[in-house]
Amino acid sequence: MKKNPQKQLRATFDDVGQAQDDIRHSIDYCIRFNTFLDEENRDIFINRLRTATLGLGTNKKVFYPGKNNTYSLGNVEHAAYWLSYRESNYVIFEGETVEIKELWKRLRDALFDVFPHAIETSIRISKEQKYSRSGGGRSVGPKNLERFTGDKQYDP
Amino acid sequence: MRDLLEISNTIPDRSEEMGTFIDDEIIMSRRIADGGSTIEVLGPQGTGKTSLMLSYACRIMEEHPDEIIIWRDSYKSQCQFNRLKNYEIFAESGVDLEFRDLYKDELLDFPVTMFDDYPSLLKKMSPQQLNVVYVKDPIVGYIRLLSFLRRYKEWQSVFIDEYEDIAPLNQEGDKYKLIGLLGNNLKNIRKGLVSLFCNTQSKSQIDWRVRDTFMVTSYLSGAKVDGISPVYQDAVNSLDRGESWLSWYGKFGRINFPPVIPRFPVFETVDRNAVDDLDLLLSTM
Repeated sequence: MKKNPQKQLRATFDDVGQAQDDIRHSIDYCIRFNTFLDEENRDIFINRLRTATLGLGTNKKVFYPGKNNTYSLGNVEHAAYWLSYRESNYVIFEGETVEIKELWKRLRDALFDVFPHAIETSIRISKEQKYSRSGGGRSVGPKNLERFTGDKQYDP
Repeated sequence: MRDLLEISNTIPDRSEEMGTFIDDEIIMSRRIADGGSTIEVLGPQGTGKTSLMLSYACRIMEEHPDEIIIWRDSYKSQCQFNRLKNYEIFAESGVDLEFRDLYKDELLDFPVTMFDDYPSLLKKMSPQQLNVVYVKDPIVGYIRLLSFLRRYKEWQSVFIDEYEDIAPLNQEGDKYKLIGLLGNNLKNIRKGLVSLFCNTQSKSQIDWRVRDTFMVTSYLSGAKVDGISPVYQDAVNSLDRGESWLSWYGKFGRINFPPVIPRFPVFETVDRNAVDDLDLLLSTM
């Protein structure tokens, strides 16, 4: 194992895990203070969202059950983008006013469904994982190859 | 999350362990009760088939210094045995060898020892070198040689580069019967203290009676995996150069090997007495 595979594997795994923590902390903050993201945090949020979900949120939809109707926010990725661009602490659905922290809660629950899949994917299909096994195995070469090949090797 | 990672890191990687087992206990062991072993190396061009075979040849010289090593090389292609410095060239009587430098377009001179029959050939051979044997017809010559070695009670290793030349598909007449005999012989050849290493690009070029008689299969990067092999095609595709999966019946393991690169001069061998296939074909058209 010449390429220190465990260290390389840790890179993707930890990165996805760390991004998920960042996203969770951002959403927790918005829920606690019933607020929206400012411009600077919005960039960080969207950037970290990409790593945290690895795009796997497109298969799960987010709904908000209102008093009169159930409103769809689209899939998790879309809902996260949409919510990150709100600029007030409430949203009006067909005349019904909803506090933004309620929508953040719905998004957080949906993200918790997506995060484990992203973690699994980060281990299973990452490039590092593929190369982590590279160079493995017993060497079947002789102990001293130069003894047999000499020094007249062709090296273009 | 970190705990999960720590756990995943503690899962043992058995592939190296099994690779070591197959290498030590099957390929390199020399127990009379078990006999030798038969290994085929599969891989596309340039993935290291010859390097792996030469690595094993060097290992045998190191670990079994008295063992005779026979190397088979093709006519009209770059000589592979020249990658090692110790070799001796033998030619069957009737073969007139010519060595052509592939870069300088000039003829080279190498000492060639002629032989008439296989008992005298074996007496002339020495350990600690590649004994390169050129015969008139690879099918007839090498099948006779292997059949003789089976009865010769000394440890030998035979390395056949491009073994589709020895057991090609779609032969007719006597050669078809001969290859059938080779298929039967291969099953018992290891009992005659012979270890056989063969390589080819694809098994589909090999006669079906010979194809499945090998104990160990080595898959190099990009090799086409047998349907019955326990090794997944994806695992073979993701190999780098210098790495291989060894499959021994139901078990498989991973090995790696160093590149054994060509040495100067780079040359090819031609039998002056052989009829050129292209000329023969063109003369009948």
